[in-house]
Amino acid sequence: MAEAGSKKKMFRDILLIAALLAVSFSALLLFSAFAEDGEYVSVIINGAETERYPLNVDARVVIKAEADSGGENVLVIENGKARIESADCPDLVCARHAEISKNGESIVCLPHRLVIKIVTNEKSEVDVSL
Amino acid sequence: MDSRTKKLTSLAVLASGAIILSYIESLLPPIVSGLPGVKMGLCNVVIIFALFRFGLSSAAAVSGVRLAALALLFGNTLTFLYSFVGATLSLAGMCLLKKTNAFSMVGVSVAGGVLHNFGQILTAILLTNTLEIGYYFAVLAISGTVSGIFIGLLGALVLKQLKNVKI
Repeated sequence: MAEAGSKKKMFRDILLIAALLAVSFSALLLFSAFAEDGEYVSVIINGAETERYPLNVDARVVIKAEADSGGENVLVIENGKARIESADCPDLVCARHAEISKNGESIVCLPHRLVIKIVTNEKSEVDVSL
Repeated sequence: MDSRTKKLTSLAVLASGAIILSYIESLLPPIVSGLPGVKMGLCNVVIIFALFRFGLSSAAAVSGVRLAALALLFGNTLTFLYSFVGATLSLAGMCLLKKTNAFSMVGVSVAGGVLHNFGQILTAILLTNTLEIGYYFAVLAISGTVSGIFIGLLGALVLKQLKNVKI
């Protein structure tokens, strides 16, 4: 009886795992299938865009986010890809993030409330705040 | 020793185990470089063990002590908030799923892993005011599911091994 119960549970486990993996993988596939190469890097601090840089021009910019923990992130644009080279935030999650170039991809620096995001057009859309 | 003291001691040992596992994991190199947030979540072995062996309130106590200790030792308010939301959602979800009695420890742990990641991405969205970073949840959900499987198997093993040990 207990054996049958645990088999049933294992079956449900596998169902749950398969469903989760299927949904996330299809979301990722959809995202990468529709993602085209972006043209600009949008710098968003606290939900508001402050600057937009073209991806086809190599650049090295120091972004000042003015957070409690300092607030300097060095954005590097190289070969059409953007990354955070270094930062003075405590966790450096942003600096470890892989470089981004596809439309919609982003790097987050949570301590500085900073997001850099790849976009396709030069003009900024209306910012949506939550 | 009276049973309350005994339980308190056991939970304290579990909490220190969870703290050490979190610390060790923070020293290890990332599993996949370039994808922040993708990790094993080793300390969840202890949390899920506490949940199955002692119940929700004990697991919550262990989880709370771990969060507070890590924040005091290594973190700041922000990292605390970040892991607090993740850990709370994760534990609540695991407890609910355990109550349905429909899943084994593996299923419960998988849900816990994914919910932990969900809590973190939710915090990130709210703190940065940027909804668009939500796409990253797909990456984290895969990571949470895979880690959850391992943690669940490991937790079941620990639970079985300690079945006859009076703690």
